[in-house]
Amino acid sequence: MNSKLLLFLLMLISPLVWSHKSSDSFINLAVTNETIVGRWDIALRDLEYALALDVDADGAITWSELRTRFQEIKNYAFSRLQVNNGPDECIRKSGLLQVDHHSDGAYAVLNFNMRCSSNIDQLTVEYQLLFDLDPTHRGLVQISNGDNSKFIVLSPENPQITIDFSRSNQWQTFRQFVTEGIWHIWIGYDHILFLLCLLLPSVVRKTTLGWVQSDHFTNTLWQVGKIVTAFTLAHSITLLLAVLQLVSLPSRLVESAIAFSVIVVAVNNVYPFFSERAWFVAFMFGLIHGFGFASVLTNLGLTSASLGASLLGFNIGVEIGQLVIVSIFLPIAYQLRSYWFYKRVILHAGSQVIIVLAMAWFLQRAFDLSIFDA
Amino acid sequence: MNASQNLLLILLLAILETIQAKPFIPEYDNQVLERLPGQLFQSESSAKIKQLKTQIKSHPNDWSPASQLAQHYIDLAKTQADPRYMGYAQAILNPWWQKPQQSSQALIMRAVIRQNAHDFKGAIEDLDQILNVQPGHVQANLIKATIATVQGNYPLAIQHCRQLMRRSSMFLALVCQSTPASLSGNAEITYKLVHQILSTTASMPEKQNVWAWTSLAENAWRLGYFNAADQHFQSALKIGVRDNYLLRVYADFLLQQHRPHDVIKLIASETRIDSLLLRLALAEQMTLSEQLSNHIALLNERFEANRNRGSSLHKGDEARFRLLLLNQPQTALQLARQNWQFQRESADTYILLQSAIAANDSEMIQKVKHWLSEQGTEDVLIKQILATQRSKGYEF
Repeated sequence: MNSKLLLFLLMLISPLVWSHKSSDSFINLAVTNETIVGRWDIALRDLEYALALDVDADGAITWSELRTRFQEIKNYAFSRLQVNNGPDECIRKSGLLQVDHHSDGAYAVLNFNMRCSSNIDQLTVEYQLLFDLDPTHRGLVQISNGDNSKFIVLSPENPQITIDFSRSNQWQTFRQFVTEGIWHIWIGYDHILFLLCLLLPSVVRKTTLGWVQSDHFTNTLWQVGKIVTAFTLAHSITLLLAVLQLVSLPSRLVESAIAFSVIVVAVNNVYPFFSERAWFVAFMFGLIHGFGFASVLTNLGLTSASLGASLLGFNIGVEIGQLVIVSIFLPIAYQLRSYWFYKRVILHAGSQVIIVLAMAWFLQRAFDLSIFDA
Repeated sequence: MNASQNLLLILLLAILETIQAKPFIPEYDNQVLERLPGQLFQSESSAKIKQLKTQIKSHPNDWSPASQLAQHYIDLAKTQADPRYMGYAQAILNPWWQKPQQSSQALIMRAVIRQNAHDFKGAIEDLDQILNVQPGHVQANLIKATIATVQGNYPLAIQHCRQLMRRSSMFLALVCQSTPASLSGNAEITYKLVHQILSTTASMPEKQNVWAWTSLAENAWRLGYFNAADQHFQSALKIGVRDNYLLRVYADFLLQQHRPHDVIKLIASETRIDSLLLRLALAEQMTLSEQLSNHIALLNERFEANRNRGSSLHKGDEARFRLLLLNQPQTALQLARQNWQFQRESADTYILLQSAIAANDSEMIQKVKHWLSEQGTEDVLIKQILATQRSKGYEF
């Protein structure tokens, strides 16, 4: 066996240690509306292998050797990177050439901006840099859009990625509107009062002797369930109709009617007149409350693209808020129902206070009187 | 503030420093941005390589220039410990890469590239394809023996080494066997044999000599013959051929012998190479060098970069970094365990045991001990590490 072959064999078997980092380039794309601010870091060693930067062959790449080849580097690199928004190609404008040090050496930093013809919602990145020269090369791409951020490794097997921002934005819109819905029911005293007034008598029962305590929790639960479902169903219907602009009512009428609805259910607690059909009252007035929710939702700003997500999110938020109120109220009311002060103080006196308050709202809203703010 | 808090603070400061680095526009035209590894730019500018490149450009499907250049890059990858060159070789071999029927030369190169990307399964398939037709094929047997040794399958490794006796030199077969044999209960006799043959054989190719002396030194180290081991490592170094594996294990030996200053002398300029930078930082930890925090930050950044690209090639070293420099036994154990699933060289076993002891995972300690005794491995280092289980401190 000749010594050359032996030498070759020894090359093969010397134990495996990879001690250098493999070749990577780093792309950062910051997306806002229809524009992208981009930064692309490519190792000088990789550019040297692809384009032979070290023209004086002294083993060192100087700033002038890099700077004078900027145009060629740009042509080389950007012909291997495609960034599209759906079917539209985005127009690129190059910025400064800079240098940065990574843990494994110096990198050329290519700064650029891109402008797409419309809002970016389906960003496609196709990457082919160096794959023909080094299949172990990887493109490490960081794409951010507002709070959304994605990190992807592109390889010869997987050179392309499409990110659907519209979907992730829908999800974000949905979550945002769920929060808005919860928040609105919590700060919307009139909705809470309406609901509570309807629910207060549900733990008691009307007889010829007046209110007596309810005997079974299941009865109570059934009552409450009917009322809440009717209210929800009704306000969801009108919320949808109003947001889709199929029905519209003047806000003065809606707001006054909401105040009026609170008066009606509070009066019923003192002088019961519809207690058996509370769910029906909840449904009828629920239709009015839905218009109230709709005006809040429209004020939050809606785009046709995110309408579905916002509407669903807001409605679910309102229901979550409602359920929380009910689940706090119900066990407490059920425990207290047998005490005289529940009937006397909370149900009667409480409702009377609510009547006065709601009257004031009604007058203020219907006749534009300023009662609360002087 | 205890030592680990102190270290953490140093690390945080160092990371902050590197994060603050921003892209810049150099001030002077002649400012040097990057120095290319010497061997690369010499070979790239050599007439031979240039000629091969032109030939390949005009005839990319021509095997002769392609195989020559690919082999050149495989060799460079080995001496420079730089995976980029393996990638270059793979790209040159691309026209042949997917073909099912290949010449044995092409299969060998593909096996080597796959082996180095830790695609052991793919590499073994390529090698078996050769061995099915030519059971005595020297290169295929050697590489398969190496993979089997790394994976801890010592009987299989020895079997493939023995195939070499028929077709090539006794010397090659013997050195091939020395590591798997010494790890499976025949350390003493293998040591004596290889020592004798090295002292009596006259002239060997340099690379072969470095390999033989390094194996001998490692064997002596495991047997506890520390002075002899040091002398054998020195003999390997004296040959004067750059060998990353030699630098790595000798640095490990010096660290274990508490000779950090000698480590620094050996590899102070090797910061480009992660595994050597790790050994340097471990020595700096012993000497309380000012460079330590910088080097920890640099290592941290490089391991992170490797993780980001989805690479699993550095888990053993990263485990050691986590355990000994960052004092994170749980993370270290996790990495060392994953690494040990496909790599079972001595260093891989040491770090797994050390992390398991530090993380109090007695089940894992038992598992490793059981495996070692099954193989019949004799190793004073393992004994030392296990002894720390009681005192609960760890060294090197």
